[in-house]
Order: sequence, then C-alpha cells, then structure tokens
Amino acid sequence: MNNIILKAKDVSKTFYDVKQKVEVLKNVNLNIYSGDFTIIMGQSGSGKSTLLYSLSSMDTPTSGKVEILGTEISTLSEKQISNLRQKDISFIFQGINLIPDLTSFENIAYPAYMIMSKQEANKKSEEILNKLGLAEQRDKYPNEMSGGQQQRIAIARAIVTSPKILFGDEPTGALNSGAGKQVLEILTELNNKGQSIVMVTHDIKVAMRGNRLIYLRDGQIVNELKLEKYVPEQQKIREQKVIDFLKSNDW
Amino acid sequence: MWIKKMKHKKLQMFLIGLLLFASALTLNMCISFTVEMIIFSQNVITEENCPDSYLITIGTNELDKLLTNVEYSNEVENSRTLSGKTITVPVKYNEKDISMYYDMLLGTDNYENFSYIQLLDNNVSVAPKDGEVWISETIAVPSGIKKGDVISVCYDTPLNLKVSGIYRSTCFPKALGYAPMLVSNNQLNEIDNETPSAFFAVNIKNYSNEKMKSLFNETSYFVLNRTRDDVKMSIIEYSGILGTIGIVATVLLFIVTMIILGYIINNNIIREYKNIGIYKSLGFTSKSIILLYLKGYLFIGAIAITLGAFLSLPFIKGMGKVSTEYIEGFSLSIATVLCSVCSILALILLLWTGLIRALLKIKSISPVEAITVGATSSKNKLSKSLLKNAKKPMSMAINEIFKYRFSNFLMIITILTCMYLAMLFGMIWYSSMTMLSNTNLWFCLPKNDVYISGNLTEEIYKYVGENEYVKSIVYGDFSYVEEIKVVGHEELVNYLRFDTYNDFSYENTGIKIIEGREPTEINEVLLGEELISLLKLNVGDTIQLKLNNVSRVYEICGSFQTVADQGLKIMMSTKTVKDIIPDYVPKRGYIQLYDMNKYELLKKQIEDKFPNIVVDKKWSAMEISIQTTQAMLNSLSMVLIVVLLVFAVLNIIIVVLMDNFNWRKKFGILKSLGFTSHYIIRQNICKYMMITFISTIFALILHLSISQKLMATLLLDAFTNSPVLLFIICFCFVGAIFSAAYVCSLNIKRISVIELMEE
Repeated sequence: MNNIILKAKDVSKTFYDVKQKVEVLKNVNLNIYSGDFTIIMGQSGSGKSTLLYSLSSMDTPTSGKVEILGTEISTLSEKQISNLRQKDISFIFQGINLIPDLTSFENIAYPAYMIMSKQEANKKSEEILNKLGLAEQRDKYPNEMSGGQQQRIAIARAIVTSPKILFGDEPTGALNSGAGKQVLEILTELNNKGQSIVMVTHDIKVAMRGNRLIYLRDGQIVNELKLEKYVPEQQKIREQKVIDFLKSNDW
Repeated sequence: MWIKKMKHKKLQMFLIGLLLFASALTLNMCISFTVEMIIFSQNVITEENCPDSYLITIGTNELDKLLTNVEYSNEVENSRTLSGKTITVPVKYNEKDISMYYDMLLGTDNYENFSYIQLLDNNVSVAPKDGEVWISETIAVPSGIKKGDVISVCYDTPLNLKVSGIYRSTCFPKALGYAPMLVSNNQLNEIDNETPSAFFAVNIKNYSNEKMKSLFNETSYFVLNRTRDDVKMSIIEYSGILGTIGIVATVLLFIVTMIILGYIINNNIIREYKNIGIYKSLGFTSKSIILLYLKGYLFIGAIAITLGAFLSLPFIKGMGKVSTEYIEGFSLSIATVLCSVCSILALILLLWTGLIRALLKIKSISPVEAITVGATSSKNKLSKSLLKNAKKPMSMAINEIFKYRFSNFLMIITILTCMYLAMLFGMIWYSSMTMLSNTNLWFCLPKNDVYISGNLTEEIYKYVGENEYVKSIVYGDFSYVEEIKVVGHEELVNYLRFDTYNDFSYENTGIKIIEGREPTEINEVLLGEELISLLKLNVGDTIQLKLNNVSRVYEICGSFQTVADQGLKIMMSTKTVKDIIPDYVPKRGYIQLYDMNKYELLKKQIEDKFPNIVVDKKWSAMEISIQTTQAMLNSLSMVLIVVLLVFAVLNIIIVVLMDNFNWRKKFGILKSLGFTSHYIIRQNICKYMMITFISTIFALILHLSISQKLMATLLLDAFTNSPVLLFIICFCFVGAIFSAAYVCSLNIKRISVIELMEE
C-alpha cells in the first residue's frame, strides 16, 4: 500500500446565505495515496469542487481536519500555506489562469524562482517546454496562444516545482476534444512516472484515466472504484467499468 | 439603469467627484478672487476718498511750478495743497525704527481740508494739536502704537510727538508704502532742518488715467505721483499676478483630471467589453450605451464641480480680507456668483466634451468581437520584459511599468504636474517668507543681520566696523534728487528717489548689478533698470542730476533691478553725496555678523556707547510694509500646495484601487502559486514608488530649470529656492503617496484564490 499523502477527517463545508444555510460537504473522510490518480466525480452541486478546494488548501473547511504530508493545514499561517503551495502542491485550473503579462517561459519559471536558483529554474523550465512540445511558444504571451497550448503551459507551470500532489479542477473543461486529449496524455504520463494527482471531472473520458474514482453525492462520499493504472489497450473495458460504476450511483 | 451602474462603482465615482471638486474649488477660488479684487479696488477707491491724482513734491520751487501749471490748465477742476516736511531721520517707537521709505509730516489745522482720511476711535478733533501727531493704522497696528503713546523723530534733539489720532485711508493703501503723519501747522514750522515738501491733490474734469498722466508730464518732479487708477492697481498688483498664476495652475490640474478620467473610462470599457457587446447584440445602440455611462459621470461631475465652486467662497473671502488689510469693505459681490456660475458651466462643458471623447470608443466595439474576446479586451501586444529572469518584487515592478508604459506614463505626468506646481508655489511661499532676509533681492537694500539707524557719524560707523562681531557694515541713506535731466534730450522724470551707500560690493550688500559695475568715482551713479528704459539710456551714457541745488553731470556706470520699488531709482556712493553736501551724515547702517548669536552683545555695546542709535534685527517699517504682501502670497500658496498634495494622493488612490480590481485575477493566481500577500503588496508598492520616484526626479529637473525663468517677471531674483523646503515637499508627496498606495493595497490580503474558480 502506498503512503497516505493527504488525509481528510470529518471535513464539512457550510455556506451561509441570507435566507438559509447550505451544507455543501458533510463529514467527508478521505485518504489520498501517493502515486494515485484520484478522480472525484459527482452530479452538479454535489460538492466535488468544494471538496477539491478544501483538500488543496485553496479554501478552509468549516469543520474537520485536512492533513497534507502530515501537516494539518488549518493551523498554518499564510506564509506556511504559501510555502506548501510553492513546494508541495500545485493546481491546474479549468480557466487556465496564466499570468497575462508574462510569456510562457516566464509563467513556468516564475514560481520556480521561489524555491530554486534561477539557473536551475530556467533549465528545468526549458526541459519541460521541450518535453511538452511547446518550445515554439516560449516567448509568446497567453493571449497569443490557443486554449490547449495555454493549458499545457499551465501544466508545465504546475510540475516545474515537482509537487508532491497535483490538483486539477476540470483541466480539460474549457478545451476542445483534441486539446483535451493532449492534456490527458500528459497527465497520464506524469502519473505513470509517479506523480500523485487529484482531479475533479464530470467527463467519463477523463475519469477513465484515474486509478481511483470517488463518487460524491449531496456532500458525502457514497462510493469508490479502484482500477489498475491506465493502459491504452484496455480503454474499452475500463470505460465500461466506469460507466457501470457511475450508473450504479444514479449518474 | 444608469443609477444602478453608478451604485456599482460607488468608490470610483466618489474619488472622481473628489478630483473634480478639488479642481473646481481652486479654479473658482483663483478666478473669483482675482475678479473680486479688481471690483473691490474699483468700488473702494472713489472720487470721494481719493483725488484723481495726488503728488508729493520736494522743495518749494517745484510746487510753485506745479501751481502755475494748474492755474493755467483748463482741465483742472479743483486742487488742494498741504505743506509738509520730508523726514530723513529715523522715527522711533519703543526702540524700533518705524520710519518708512517716504516719510513725511504734513501740517494741517483742519483735517477736513484733507478729506482722504477717516479718524478711528470716534475722534472728534479737527486737527492734531502742537506736540501731537496723527498716524496711519498701517503703522500703528503692526507696531502696537495706541493713542497716547509717544513717537520720537530722531533729530539731534529728538522731537517727541504724542499720538492723538489714528487714521485709516483708502487713498494710501499699505501696498503703496506711503503713510504721512499729520501734525499742526505750528509744529511743522518748528522743524527747520528738513527739506520742505508738499502734498498736492488735484481733480480734473472728465478724469481718465491717460489725461491725468499727461497733465504733469512736462514739469513734474515728484517723489510720488499717483493717479486714482494707480492706487487701485497697487491694491491688486500682487493678488492679480498670483491669482493668474493660480488660474493657470488649476487649469493644468483640470486637464490632468480629464486625462485621468479618460483613463478610468477606458479601463471601465475594457472591463465591460463583453457586456457592451451583449448590450449591442440585444439591440442597444452605441448612443444609448454611451448615454448610460455619460449620465453617471456627468451627474457626479456636475455635483462635485458645483460643490467645489461654492465651497471656495469662504476661501475667497478669507484671502480677500488678508489682501485688503486696513481697507474696509471687502466682501463677496454678485461678481463671485457670476464667476462661480461661469466656472461651473465651463467646467461641466469641458467635462462633457472629455467624457464624450473617451466614450466614443464604445462605437467601435462589435458584439461578436466583444463576446468572443471574453471578459476583457486583451488584444494589446505587450513588450518583452526589461529585466530577464525577474524574481524580486522590485524587478517585477520595473517590468510591469515598462510593459504598461502608456498608463504608467499618464500616472507619471499626473504626479509630476502636482509635484512641480507644489514646488513652484512652495518656493513662492518661501521667497515671501524670507523677504525680510533678502531685502537685497526684493528692495535693493543691503542684506543685513542687524539694522542701525540714527545720525551715523564717522566715529559710530568706524566703531561698528571695527567691532569683533561685525563682518561688514554698509551705511547710507535714501533721499531725493530734485531734478533728473538726460543730457542732450531734456528728458525729465517724475521720480526723485536715490539710495546712497558707502559700499556696493555684492559680497557685502547682496545687491546685484546686472550691467556695468559699481561706482568707484564720485561722478558715477547706478540707475535702476526701469529708469534706464524709461529715459531710453544705456550704461555708459551721462545724466544730469540736481542735488541740494547743485547740478552735476554723472556717468551711468551700471544698472540694477528690484522687485519692489519698480526700479525707478538711482544709487550713488556716499562719496558722491559728500562731494555736494560736505556735512552729510548717513542715517542707516546694515550690518552682517559673523555669528547671529552675538547680536544681543553687539546691540548692548552700541546702545551703551551711542544711546541715540537704534539697533534692531530688521528694519521694523520694512517688516510692517511687507506683511500684507506676505500674508496674501502665503495664503494662496499654502492653499494651492495642499490642494496639489490632495490631488496627487487622490490620483494614486484611484489608480491603485482600479489596478487592484483589474489585477484581482492575477493576484489570485499568484497566491495559488504560493506567493504571499506580502510579496504581492510589496510588488505593488515598488511599482508606485518607482513611478513616484521618476515623477519626483522630473519635477525637480523641471523646477530647477524653468521655475526661476517663469517667476522672473514677478519676483526677479527674489524667487529663491530652498533645498530644505524642496526636500520637505518631495518627502510629503512621496510619503503621502506611499501611505495611500500601501493602505489601498492592503485589500490584496482579502483576495481569495476561490474567486479564480468561480470566474
């Protein structure tokens, strides 16, 4: 069994509206293991994005504990959380969210400057750019690239710091199928090399890439499916398993 | 719908309103103040309280000529004469020399013959009795002289006169520097060692300034010749010039406000690009969308401008009161209301024009493009980073300034304008405050740490000159030549003032000779620049002067200029005067010390040895005469400096808040990448501090290179720079901008990464 790198215990999140109280997450307990490609799925409004924000330190749960790499994040100061985000975790957004006035290269290297020397950061950024086939986009600004290219730059930015956990909030959601497939290939390859990924999606094709599917309903984990690592040759079997799993949960 | 739109941008509207309010307040203040002063001078100086012209003659010959002239002139309606005596010795009160440039005793046994004064204190006397004197409140009040006090005219045997009346006169405003003292005719006749003179008032038929000037052109030898228009002008001279400068400054401020407003509107349009596209796709015309924005800005602008214009009224009144000290009756008239209304309408019209121009951009937005591009129009091509591999907040800030050059350039221009104008007005304030220390620049009087007056015999000035504490002593006097003739041209001038000193070196006097050199021979004189111009002369020409009834020809060896006194005077050495008046004794001494702390010791030494000599830090009468000018210059300068500082800070607040909103997403991304709020705030502050630093440098360069030339017409060399004050102004601006930028940036702490997800 792989190590537990993230532990959520009795995590709840409640939003307060003028008229009512909305409990989005209710006592969620979840362990994330090193090397897993964990997919969180659920219907719209099930609380999957909220769970992702709470797990990734981007949001604070109303109650409960979240431990990342053994450290409970609710007790951390802003500086300590920043350190965590610099070194140990990364996030890929659905809306991509590159810094608009930095070139691709700068978008990748800039976060890396915070934790390694400039030479090292530059070298690593160049390697990742080449690896992802984005060398030609090096000096371009985000508004000069397509959505797919931008999201690949975002992934490059996320992995340049070699995070322990990579979080993704529907990273292919805003992309066309071709670009989305490219992104998935990259993520799968990263996972095959040992990168722990936790991702939210409602896309079955994306869900198939994961080796662990967690189903959320009404703010609670109701079911879980474990699969082997993704292998392209077994795509059809895998897809069916996922569909059956989802159907059994009233998807 | 436009009201709803306004409500969404409450803070922005409030800040824009503040900017327009400040512009309108200062613009209306300057315009209305200038206009009110002109109207006031027209209303307060009338036929009843000021003759068409009044003249002061020296010697009886000239008066006879004058009276003959008047007798044969068809233009003269009536005239009256008051005999007098010039006073060339100091006049003391409480050990202070209160004598002024043109000191004169006028004799009267019934002041109703001299109806240009109003006695204060319900005084029912018709004239001062023997041993008494009536003095002007422009001397009495600053010197603390009250009825019953005694002043002393420092002849060898001092003439002590009891103050039995204090008068006010609009005919002799403080700015003219002339305030005759009235004594009885008997008292006047007892003074036999001064040159007789006369005060002559004349009214002509169908008064006009030109007619008045031409009437006495041929045979006029006057110490002072003022028409009613001249008197009016003296009241508004400095206020008019300063008011004009203020108007120019505030017009600049308004232009800067419009530029900033354009920037804000442009920003708003970029942010709402997609929304505008949606409006158009739903059938809204460009005109209706423009109106939607226009109404909000115009509404706020109109309110702010109106409030600003009307709230300037107390300032106008305050400044008017300060500038018309000792002249009753300044109040705001219908002219201020008219000026205010005109200012309001003009500013609103300019605002409307500016807004339309900025909003026309909406016309070019197409629905498809706007919706496709997304929430913002981000098609602008950015330049490469100036500093590669930037990591530190300062480096990132520099890169950002470089990438967004245009908007940052606007900010630099705004801060630069405000700082430059603040420096300019700060130095005007400083020049005014140091008037007394810079008498050499303002009045062409030798600069001094100590001023002594009395009969300065050789024994006295040698004693002082050899004193261990004294660095230098320049002694001399001022008096009057009876006649000035340009040899060969028979030109005459109606101004007889001359100053005499034993020393004209720049080191000891601070007096700048702008052409030629100081006099070394007894037949050499210096002429004021204006006098040279009036007589159409050059340095090197000769001129005939009559002094003490002796006519001599002198060579003009050089020329000088002064701010006050209009440069219509002559300077000659004491050697020259002694050559004509062998028993001439100078009356005034200007001393520079090695150490100001020794002043009291020196004062004691001189007064112990020579009890009749008055020793003071400054010439008291000079101090009194400049107070009104100082008060007016200071008040207007201070108001403008404060407004400029507020303006600069407001601009920064607007820009920082706008930038924080625009870059909210970017700040959220940075936080998600592990950058702390502290880092982001530092980067922000670095950017604004860099911009402020650049603005400061350029403002300083501008100030040091052009302010002196700009102010030369008003203050000549008397416009002095104070490095300390410049530093204080820069410090205040930088400090205020830093504080505003920091406080407004604290909002960054509240930006949550969650907002990125929800977009």
